[in-house]
Amino acid sequence: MGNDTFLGMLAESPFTGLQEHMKIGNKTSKELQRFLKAVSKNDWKEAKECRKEIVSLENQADDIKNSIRNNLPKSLFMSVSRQDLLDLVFTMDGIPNAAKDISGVMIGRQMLIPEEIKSGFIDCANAAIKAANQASNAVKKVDQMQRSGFSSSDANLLEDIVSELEKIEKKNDELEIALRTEFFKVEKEYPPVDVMFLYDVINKIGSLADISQTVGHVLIRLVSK
Amino acid sequence: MIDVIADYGHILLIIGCFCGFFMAWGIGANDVANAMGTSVGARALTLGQAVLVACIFEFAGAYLAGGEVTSTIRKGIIDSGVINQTPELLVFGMIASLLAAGIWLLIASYFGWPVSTTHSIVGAIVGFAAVGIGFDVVQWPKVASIVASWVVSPIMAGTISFLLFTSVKQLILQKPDPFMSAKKYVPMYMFLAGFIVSMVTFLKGLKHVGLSFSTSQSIAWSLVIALVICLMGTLLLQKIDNTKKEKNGAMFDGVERIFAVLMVFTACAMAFAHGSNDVANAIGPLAAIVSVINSGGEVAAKSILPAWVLLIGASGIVLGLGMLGYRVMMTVGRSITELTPSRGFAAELAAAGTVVIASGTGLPISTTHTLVGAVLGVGLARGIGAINLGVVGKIILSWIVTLPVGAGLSILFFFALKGFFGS
Repeated sequence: MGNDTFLGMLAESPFTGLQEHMKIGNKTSKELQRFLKAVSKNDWKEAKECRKEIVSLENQADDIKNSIRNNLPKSLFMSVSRQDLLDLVFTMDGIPNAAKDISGVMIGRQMLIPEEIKSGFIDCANAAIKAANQASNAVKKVDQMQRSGFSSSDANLLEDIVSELEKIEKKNDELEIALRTEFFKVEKEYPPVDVMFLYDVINKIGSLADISQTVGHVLIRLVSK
Repeated sequence: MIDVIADYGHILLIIGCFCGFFMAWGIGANDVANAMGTSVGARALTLGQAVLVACIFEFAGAYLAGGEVTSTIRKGIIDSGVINQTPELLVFGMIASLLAAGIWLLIASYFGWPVSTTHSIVGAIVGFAAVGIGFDVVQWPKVASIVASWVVSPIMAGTISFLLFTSVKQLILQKPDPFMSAKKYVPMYMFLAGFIVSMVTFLKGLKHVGLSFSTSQSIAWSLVIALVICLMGTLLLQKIDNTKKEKNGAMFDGVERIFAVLMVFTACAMAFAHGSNDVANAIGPLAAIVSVINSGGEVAAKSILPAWVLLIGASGIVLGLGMLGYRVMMTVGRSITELTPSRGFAAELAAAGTVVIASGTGLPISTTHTLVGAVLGVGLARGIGAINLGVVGKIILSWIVTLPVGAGLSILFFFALKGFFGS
């Protein structure tokens, strides 16, 4: 005897895991911000600490992602499409992954950010982190929408959040282009391998913003059933 | 033939009472938890409150609105004219049915299969009658309409809960100020719950207690009662305020607190509905046994339901609830977080309404299956995060399996009793 009443039909809501994952992603992007600040100050002790934290957060995010995926049997009837939900979780998981990649390359190579582009670099990274934060806000909104039963006014609010996210991503794009132009002017003064990896990190920062924007787009698809 | 009744009447009566009590105990231990679990799970009622509400309203439902279903179980399934010559067979059969359904429920509960008391008892009665007495004894058109109602009732409850939750979305959840909208519209749902329950009671139930109302009188009285309930609810709601600091994203906490009050009302309606329909599963067969034996072998004897029969049913339920049912409810209460009061009430009210209407029509339906349909309806209105259709499939399967098993067991017990009392 026990938990076998008909209420067993109520499966664990996937939205709980989604919010947990979002919180981890949010923490990771904050930690990345701290990491970049430390690197720009050449404070490698602090940077190492941040890096450790990012790796641990990324692991937690992976665990949550897997538990969401494993708890989504095909026999589940949900208020959102199963495929969209899986897409969302995988896209969201890209945020901590990107943070881990960026911090990994930088700490592995004890990467120094050239003085000439330092402010441009930080601005560009901050815009990407802001995009990640905005993506978290959008995911947070979905929880509220679920509580209200997915209304059209909520959908409009979500669209506002996402269009703001698009603006941030665009801003990040512009900053990235400016940063590349600036760095192109001085790149010959630095060792070529270092230059190559710095471009790689710039790429990765750009993709953090891209992923964040995709999170917003998948969210809109998710709620507009 | 009538000798069996004269010789063994008292023994058969005692066995019948014992079996009826056993069946009622089973309903209390398991079935009531299904009906009340939604409220406990949504934290609208504490465990103690749920047990109290269940005791009071199950009894009220059985007494005030259970007459029609009791009479269907008692004499609607079997054609009493045909077995007028062999009344002892009816007594054996009804005892066998109670035993079969009770034992099957016990086995199912042990293994955790979600079976329905209604399906067990109907399967058992049809089984012993068709095989033990004769195929023609069963009133097949009536049985067909009962089986049809088993398909229709979850669909009906699902449709109602879909509409209810959609209206909650439109009127409350999607408004700029859901909290104030909830205060405004929730009493309306209380009115609805009160009206449906009292309407069925006035129209169909009270005549079994000896009171009779015309349709217009019933409507008038139901309106009065519903209004009183609505006012009571409004007063209760006034105590709830929204001043508690609510964290970002938790703007629905206050709204859910209002719905939790509504859910106390729908829980009462649910217990009443359950009492009006499912208590008959235990009382109906017992009533048939009692009426045959008391009249000294008259099957078609027209007699009203003796109050003590009802008391056996009611006390059996309360005892079952006290011994095991509260434990089932406790597990249920811990295991669900997903069914918030704004969803739970829609499911409960839809199920309670459907069951109470079925009770008024005299159709024995399964409260649990009706609730399953109602929860699915809320899910279709995008109210619930995830519903496990695998479990729903298991419930439907157990529904189908229960019929032949109940029938088989009751045939077995029927021939055993017949052999033992040497008819």
